[in-house]
Amino acid sequence: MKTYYKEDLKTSFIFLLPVFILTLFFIFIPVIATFINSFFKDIIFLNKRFVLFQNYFYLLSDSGFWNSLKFTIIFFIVSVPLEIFLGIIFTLVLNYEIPYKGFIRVCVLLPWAIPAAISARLWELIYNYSYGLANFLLLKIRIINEPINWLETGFSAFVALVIADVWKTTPFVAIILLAGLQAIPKEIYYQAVIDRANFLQRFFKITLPLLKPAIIIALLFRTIDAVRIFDLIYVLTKGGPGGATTSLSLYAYKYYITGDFGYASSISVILFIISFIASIIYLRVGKFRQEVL
Amino acid sequence: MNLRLINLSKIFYSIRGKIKAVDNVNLEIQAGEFFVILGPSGCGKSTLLNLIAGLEKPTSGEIYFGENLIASKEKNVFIPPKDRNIAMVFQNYALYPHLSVFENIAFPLKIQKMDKDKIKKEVEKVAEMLNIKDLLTARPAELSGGQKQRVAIARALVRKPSVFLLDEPLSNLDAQLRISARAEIKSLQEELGITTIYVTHDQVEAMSLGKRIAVMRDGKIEQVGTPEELYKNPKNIFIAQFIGRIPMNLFVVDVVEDKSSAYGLIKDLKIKIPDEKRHLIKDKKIVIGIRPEDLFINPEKADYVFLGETKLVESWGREKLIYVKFGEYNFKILSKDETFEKKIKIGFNQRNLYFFENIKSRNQIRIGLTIS
Repeated sequence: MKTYYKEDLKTSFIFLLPVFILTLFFIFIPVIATFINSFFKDIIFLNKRFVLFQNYFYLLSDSGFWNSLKFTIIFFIVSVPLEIFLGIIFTLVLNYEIPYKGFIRVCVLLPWAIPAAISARLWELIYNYSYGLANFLLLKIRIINEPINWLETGFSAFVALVIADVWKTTPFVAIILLAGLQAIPKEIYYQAVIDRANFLQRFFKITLPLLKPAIIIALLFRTIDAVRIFDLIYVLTKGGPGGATTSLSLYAYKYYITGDFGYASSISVILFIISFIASIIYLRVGKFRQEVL
Repeated sequence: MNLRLINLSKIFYSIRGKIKAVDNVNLEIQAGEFFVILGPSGCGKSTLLNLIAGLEKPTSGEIYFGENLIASKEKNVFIPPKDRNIAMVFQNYALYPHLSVFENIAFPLKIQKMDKDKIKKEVEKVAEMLNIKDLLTARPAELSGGQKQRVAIARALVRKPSVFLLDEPLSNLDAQLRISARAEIKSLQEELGITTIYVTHDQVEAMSLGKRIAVMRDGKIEQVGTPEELYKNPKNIFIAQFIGRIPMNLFVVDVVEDKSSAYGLIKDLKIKIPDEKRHLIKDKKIVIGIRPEDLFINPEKADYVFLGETKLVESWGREKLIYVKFGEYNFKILSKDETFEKKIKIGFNQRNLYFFENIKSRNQIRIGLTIS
C-alpha cells in the first residue's frame, strides 16, 4: 500500500515544497525567533540575558504599551467595520450594469493600488493646517468656522487616520466582495425576483448569506492589517500627538530602533497573539464550509 | 390564462452594435396549453421567456396575460415579475445554496408572509407530489441533478402560478433521467393544467412535450404548429433540418423543364416536381429533401430506385444509420436491415419528398446547415 501511493506523495511534496520553504523562512522562523527573543533582556551593546517573563511584567506596568494597545484596538474596531460596510455598498454599485463600468471600477480601486507611504503623503497635504484641502473644503461649505489642526490633537488625528485608512483599503474589501458576488449565478436573483422578493429581501436573504465567506475573508485580511497598522501612522503623525496615535507596531518599532530588542519582541508577540486570536474567531464563525453553487 | 405576444421585440445594445434578440414576435398561447419554444442556442428563446417573465423589458411590442396588458413601452406599462404570478425553472435550477430543500420550497411563501403552519402543509403537499419528501432537510449541494430539478419544480409549483415557465430544465440531466423527467413534467402539467411555456434546443424534447411548438431562429418565429405539422410540413430548410431525429437529407439540384412538368436531377434520377411546388424553382435550382427514415434498402416497390455505395454504418441497436454515397450526393439512411453489401439498392417514394426554395444565407451556415 505504501508504494502504491508513493508517486502521488512525491509529486504533492514537490508542489508543496516552495510554499513550505517560504513559510518556514519568512513566517515560522521569525515568529519563533521573536518569541524566544521576548524572553531575553537584549539591548544593543549589552550582554544578552535570559529573564523569562520579565519583559511581559514590564509591559503590564507600561502606560505607553496600554495606550498603544487601546489605540490599536479602537482603531480596528472603528475602521474595519466601516471598510466592510462601505466595501459592500461599493460592491453592489460596481456590480450594477452601468455605463463606463470598467472605468468606474478602475477609479474606485485606484486608492488601493497606490503605495501606502505615498497615499499617506497625499493625506498629509490634505490635512495640512494652512493650505490643506480638508480645511479649505470644510471652510468653504461652512461646516467649520476656523481651520482644524488635524494632526495635532488626539481625536482629530485619530479621525484623520481612520479616514485615510478607510479611503485606502475599502477598495481592497470591494475587490474581494466583488469576486464573491460574481460567483453567485444571476439565475438565483432572477429566481428571487420571480419569488417576489423585494430589493431588501434579496439583499438580506440571498446576497448577504451567499457573500458571507467573502466577507469573512475580507474581515480577516483587514483585521490583521489594521491591527499591525504602521506606515500610514508613521508618515502622518509619527504616533503623535503625545503618543495618542501610536499603534502597537509603531510602539514596538520605537523600541527596536533604540536597540531594546527583547522588549520590542515582547510587544510584537502581543501583536501576534491578537491577530492570531482574531483569525481563529473569524475562521470559526465562517466555518469555511464552502457551499457548492 | 392565455397569453398574447404582439409585435414583441427586444434589442440589446453592446459595443459591437445592436443585437435583435427577439424580433417582432407574434404568438398566442392558449390557456392550459403546453407550449414549447424550440431553437438553436443564441436564437433568442431564453430572452423571449425572460420577457414573458418580466426579467427583461421589451424594446417594443406588447404582452398580454389574458385581457391584461402587462408590458408595453409605447403605453408605458410594465408589470414587474412579482405581480405576474409566474413561476420559473432555470437550467441550473437556481436553488438557494444556503437554504435547505424545505426552506427553498418555502421561500416564495415566506416572502408572501404566509402562516407558518400553512407553509409547512403546502411544502409537504408539493414535496409529496414530486417525491422529494425525504429530502426536505438536505442542502442543494447534497442533491443529485435529478433531485435538484424536482426541488426547483416543487418551488415553482408551490405558489400555484398561473403561468409556468421552464428554461431548458432538462439540459443538465443525463440522457436516461431526461426521458423520465420529461414524462413526469408532461403528466404533471396535464394534471395541473397550468399554462406552460417550455424553452429548449432539443427537438426530441420539444416534439414529445409540446402540444404546439414555435421554432425560433435569429429572434424570429419561423413556424408554429403541432409536432406533426412541423414534421410533415416544414416551412423551410431550417425547420426541415431542425425537426426530426436525424436531419433531413437535402440536395440542391438542377431543374429541367419540359412542356408539361419539371424535374429535379439527383445524378441521373429524374425527380418529378409537383406542379404546386414549381413556384419554388429559382434560377433553375430547387432543394429536394427526404428524411432518412423514408429511404428503403432493397425495396420491393418504390417510385425511385438507385444504387448507392455504403460508406459508413452506425449501429443504433435496433436501427442502423447508414451513410451512402450516390455520385456526388451523400444520403443518410435509417434502416432496420442487418446486412449490407458494398453496393446497395435504395428506394424512395414521391409522396415522401419535400421541396424548398434554394435560399442560402449566412445564418444557415452558422447553425451548421450543410446542403450536400
